[in-house]
Amino acid sequence: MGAYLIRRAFRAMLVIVGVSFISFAVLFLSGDPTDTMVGEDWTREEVQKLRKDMGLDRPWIIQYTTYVSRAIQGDFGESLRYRQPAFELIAERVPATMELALVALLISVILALPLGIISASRRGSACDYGGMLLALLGQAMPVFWLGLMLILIFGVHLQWLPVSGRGGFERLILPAITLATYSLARNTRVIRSSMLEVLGLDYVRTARAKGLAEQSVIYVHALRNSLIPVVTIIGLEFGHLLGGAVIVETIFAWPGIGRLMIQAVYAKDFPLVQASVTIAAVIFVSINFLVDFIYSYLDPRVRLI
Amino acid sequence: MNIFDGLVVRKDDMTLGPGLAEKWEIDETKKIWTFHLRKGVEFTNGEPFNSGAVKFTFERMLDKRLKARTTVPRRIALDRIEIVGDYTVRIHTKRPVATLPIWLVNAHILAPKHYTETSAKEVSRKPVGTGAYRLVEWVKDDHIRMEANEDWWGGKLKVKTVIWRPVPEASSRIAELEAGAADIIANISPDQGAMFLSGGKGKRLQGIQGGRRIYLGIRQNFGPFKDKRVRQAMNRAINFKLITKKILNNHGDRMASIVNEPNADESIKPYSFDPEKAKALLAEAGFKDSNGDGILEREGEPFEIKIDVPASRYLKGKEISESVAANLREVGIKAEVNPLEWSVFLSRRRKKKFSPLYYHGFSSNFNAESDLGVLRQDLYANLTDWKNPEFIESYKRLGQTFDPVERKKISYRMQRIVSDDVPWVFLWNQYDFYGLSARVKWTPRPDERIYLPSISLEKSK
Repeated sequence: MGAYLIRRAFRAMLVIVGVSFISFAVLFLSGDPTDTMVGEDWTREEVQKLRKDMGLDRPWIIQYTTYVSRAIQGDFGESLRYRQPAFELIAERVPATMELALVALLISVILALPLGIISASRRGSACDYGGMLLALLGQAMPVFWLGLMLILIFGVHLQWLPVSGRGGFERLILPAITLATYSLARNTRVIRSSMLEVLGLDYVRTARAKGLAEQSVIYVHALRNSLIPVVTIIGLEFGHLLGGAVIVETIFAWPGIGRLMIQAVYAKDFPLVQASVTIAAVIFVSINFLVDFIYSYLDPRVRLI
Repeated sequence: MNIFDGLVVRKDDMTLGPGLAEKWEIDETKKIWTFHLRKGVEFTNGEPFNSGAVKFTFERMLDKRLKARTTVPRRIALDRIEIVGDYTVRIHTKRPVATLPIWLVNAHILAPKHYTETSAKEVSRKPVGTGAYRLVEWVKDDHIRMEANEDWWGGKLKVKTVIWRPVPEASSRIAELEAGAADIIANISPDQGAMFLSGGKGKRLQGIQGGRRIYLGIRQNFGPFKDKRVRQAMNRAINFKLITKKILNNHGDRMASIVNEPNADESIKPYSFDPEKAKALLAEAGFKDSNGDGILEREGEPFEIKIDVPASRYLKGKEISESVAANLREVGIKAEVNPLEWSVFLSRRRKKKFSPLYYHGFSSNFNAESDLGVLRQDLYANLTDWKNPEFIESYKRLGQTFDPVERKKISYRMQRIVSDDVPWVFLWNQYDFYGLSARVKWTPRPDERIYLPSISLEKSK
């Protein structure tokens, strides 16, 4: 168990370092932070001086190693645009994104479970086809389009809900639904197919043969085993939700890390992009770590050796 | 600019007026400016405004530890500040700077005690000035709430509470206006605006000609562009009326002078659309379509160019470029539009790697010297390689001239040179579009600022 943990931790570190390296390289290739910092009335000389002052005239590998050595000590540097520690800026916005992502996750799981189970247990019925059609739509709709449609219907025409911003439950509803839709659709399909697979297994047939009620076959015997792939999916789903937050937060003017990240990329705010990408990677890797543990609980055959 | 005031104010018509300084004068060495300050003004935290606050503010800009990014001290060649009396202060400059008052518009005077006693981290969240409004609440990336400063020296304010919200997506901004949750939305395109204009209910689209001068930079390191006739021909080939009609929802006119109102020489007329004249000028310059493919050649070289345009930076930049390219093809220049992502565009600008034509826009601080200064060769963002000896000499002279009449004469002469010697394919002064709710009474300013004291609300009917 200990050795396994160390191995996993080492791998996780590798992922995080890899992510930070790739994002640094991509950012470095795409431009220079001074590009968006200088005014149009600056002379070439003034621009050169600023680049030198900021250490941007050094080779990129030196800039990267300086960054890494500081980041290991918990210092992600100062945002070029906001001139505050990058870590602090992100920490301030994490609650907003977490709130959005968790509610979206909750919506998608709570709705996907009954939908998936009903579709699977009544395979081929109108219920099943209806559910799968909805799931198909949910996966096919672009997030930004769905968000704008919800705004148009509930914010502008019916005026039931506020259009954008954060504060109060009513402002959370539209962005959470927008963010949840894709994963809801995907989870429904996964639960359905996983349920169908389990329902075809011998032990389920045995359960039915010994005269158990269909309800208890499904909910007591089949459900637990069909949840295993679902747990994996949810772990990955969380990363997807964080990614989706970039779009949803922009449409709904939600003050989270997704929007901060996008702004940082546009402004070539190197330290801020680096810090947010690294922190997002840390969150993602930790959640998958957690998923492995839940996995072993759900399926005694999977043991962390 | 709503929380703070400067010594000098840029009024709604873009001319300068007294701000925290009631009047100012300059001595005969042209290096000492004396400012007479407004009396009885207080910062919103109760600190008095006086010459000490002015000295504090300017010295803070020079404080190396704060790493301030303001360019004001450099632009005004600030040497030192001298207190003459409680309400009289002198700014000493290292060399004569005729444009000094312009730069003071954005030199916001700070409350000395507050900015000394509050930690650097706190102070950025709790600004204190003498301005018309004070900050009441700030939720990062979500909203800023401001309340009217009842004791403001500038007069009575018509709007008590103002909430600013950053909404990055234009469609969401329009939805906020539609839903009645916003009174003013900024930065929308005219076709988006036309969409909700049709909805009625008194909501309206308000366009204003801004100070940003949009042009195609002509890179003279490309051989054919060294010939003035070719540069003029391109200007004659552009049908801007069509662009106004088809792309800009009937907003906007062709740029006449590189200098913005109120400093523009009104007698300079924009280049008219005249493809025949354009063809004649190109023929004069030695271009001929010898193989009948519709593209001109000179010494066997076909006239082919690219137009670099940042895809989503400027209002309808890509569409306008396409239209220009089509116009150029009609007179025999094969032009191809090359859309670039903004950051790629910027890094090419830094590396001086633009195509022969590039779509660019310079903002303005509504002063002739700065407006003309965008053609300086040492300017980072100017890639034209346009060097006109008389222009260079006049620009130097303009910087040393303090007499307004003489300055105007030089500036007008320089505007003529630019119009005639064509460093740019002149396009237009970009419009800024706002969406306004039925109850808002406000005329937007050309400098992209939303100045709250000039806004009022009508009681809803």
